[in-house]
Amino acid sequence: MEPCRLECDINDILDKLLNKGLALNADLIISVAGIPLLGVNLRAAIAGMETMLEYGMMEAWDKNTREWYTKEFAGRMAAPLVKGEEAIIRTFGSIWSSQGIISTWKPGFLYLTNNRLFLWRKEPPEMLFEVSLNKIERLMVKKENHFEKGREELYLQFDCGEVARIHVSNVTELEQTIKMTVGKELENRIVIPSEPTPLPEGEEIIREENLWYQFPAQGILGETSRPGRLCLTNKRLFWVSRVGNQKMFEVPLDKVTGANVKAHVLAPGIKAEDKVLNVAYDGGRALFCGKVEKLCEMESAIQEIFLKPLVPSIVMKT
Amino acid sequence: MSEAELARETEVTQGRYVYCIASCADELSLDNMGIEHAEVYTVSHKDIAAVVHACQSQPYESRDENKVKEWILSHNNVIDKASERFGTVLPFSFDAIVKGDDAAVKDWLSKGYEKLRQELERLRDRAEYTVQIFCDPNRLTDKIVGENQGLRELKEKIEKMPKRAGYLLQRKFELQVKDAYNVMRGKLAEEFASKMKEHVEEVKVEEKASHVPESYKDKKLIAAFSCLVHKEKVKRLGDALGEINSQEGHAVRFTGPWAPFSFVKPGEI
Repeated sequence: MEPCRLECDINDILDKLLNKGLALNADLIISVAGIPLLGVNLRAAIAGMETMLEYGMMEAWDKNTREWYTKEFAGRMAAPLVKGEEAIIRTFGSIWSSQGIISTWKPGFLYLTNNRLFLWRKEPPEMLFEVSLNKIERLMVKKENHFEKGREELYLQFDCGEVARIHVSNVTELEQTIKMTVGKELENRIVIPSEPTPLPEGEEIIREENLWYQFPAQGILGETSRPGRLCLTNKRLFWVSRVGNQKMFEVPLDKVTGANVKAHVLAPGIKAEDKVLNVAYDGGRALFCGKVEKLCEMESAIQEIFLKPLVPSIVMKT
Repeated sequence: MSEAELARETEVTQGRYVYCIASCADELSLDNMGIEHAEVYTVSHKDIAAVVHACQSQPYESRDENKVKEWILSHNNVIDKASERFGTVLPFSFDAIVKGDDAAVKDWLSKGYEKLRQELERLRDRAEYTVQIFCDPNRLTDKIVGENQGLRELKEKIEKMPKRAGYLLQRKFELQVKDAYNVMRGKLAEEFASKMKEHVEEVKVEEKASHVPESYKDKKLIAAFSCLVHKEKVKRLGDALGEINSQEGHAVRFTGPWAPFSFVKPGEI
């Protein structure tokens, strides 16, 4: 068969002349940056969207979209500052919120102004926390555990007695600035209500570890692992849940009959190879899991109290 | 305005619209066949020349599509005429304009001389041809179904069912045929390429949906290629394509010769 050029129409030629062939180097050419309009129309007809964008065809659309976006969100994004109010610190921060069974950090932008301290979330817009500076009575920086690491957090107590817990990246700066802005002496001792009641006189903590407690079945709930803190004092062994700081397990030391770390414990949610701390006491046993080093530390701390290692006499339920 | 400033001004406002680079040592006038009947001429450096016309240093642009099409046809016409006269040329894209006058063009040619010379040498006596291979869609489906037992069984099942009940299965069948078609298309394209291979210097599969003329609209485009072919091998390529064309349900569209638009390297000079 013979090649033919007769039946070729303009489209074949356009395809080659617009999309192929040599192009000039940028410093020689005049038409590239200026975007030849023709190129736009024709190229668009042939090449579609990608080329349109490349040749700036959607610029107007892009501009409109940006304008719309700015307009649409302008009202929402601006922090609600009152007239005459001036932001002194504006930083990313979060506030501890504990309501019912939900306890969480709520993030937003923390503003310290000449008469308010507030945490503003842009999207969806919400005032997460707001207080007038003259209501702040006490201020305290405290080191807290945060995902196994210590970090500083700021506690504020207001004249109504309420306590707020705030975290920002530079807590000290925030504390100092609040002190300066408030312009009055602030006490720096706050009793944190959510903390467990302090230990009675004569009792002291020997060892404390973050461990999971195998919580016994209750009602329709089966056994569950819950996060919290296992405390060994010179009087008792108790475990406090991370949620709500409730004491859910407590045994006086004289009732404890033994503790050891072992694997192959049959319990729901625990794998056969996982090591658990097994505490035996008069009337039952309790299982704790977590990092092996922590389990072992706790084990030896308990055993030390009895001066000699105890072999727990536990008959495992199967 | 001082003389120097005036000179700079004219230099900036002058441009040279470039059609192509050809093997030509002389400075010739090629008639008023350029865009908007501009006088086309050659600007040479040693044995190569740029085919240009003098213009303002601003791109050709218009909202009138017909006008632009006319420009493009003129551009292509100049390339064809230059190819006839000088042999294979290096074609430029539409609207490539060198800033400055003939001296600027000469300067540019001298800087790119080695590269351009090499390209002209490489493409000498060769031209670009476009090959599009079409297939009758019904025949293709039959072929796909015939080769695939699963699809065959599905089809039989559908045919036995009442029309409405078979609807979902019919959709499933169509989707599977489509998948199978894409696989087959790849295979066929390879098969065709291997048939053409010995007759072409280079072949490029055109991945982008290329233009399909009206007369082929009822057929399915299976593969499109741009081929760089030596002038002595065009007949043999044509014979190979003729064979494909004569297969039942197949149609081949074979166009050319074109200047080597798809094969000039590098993209920028």
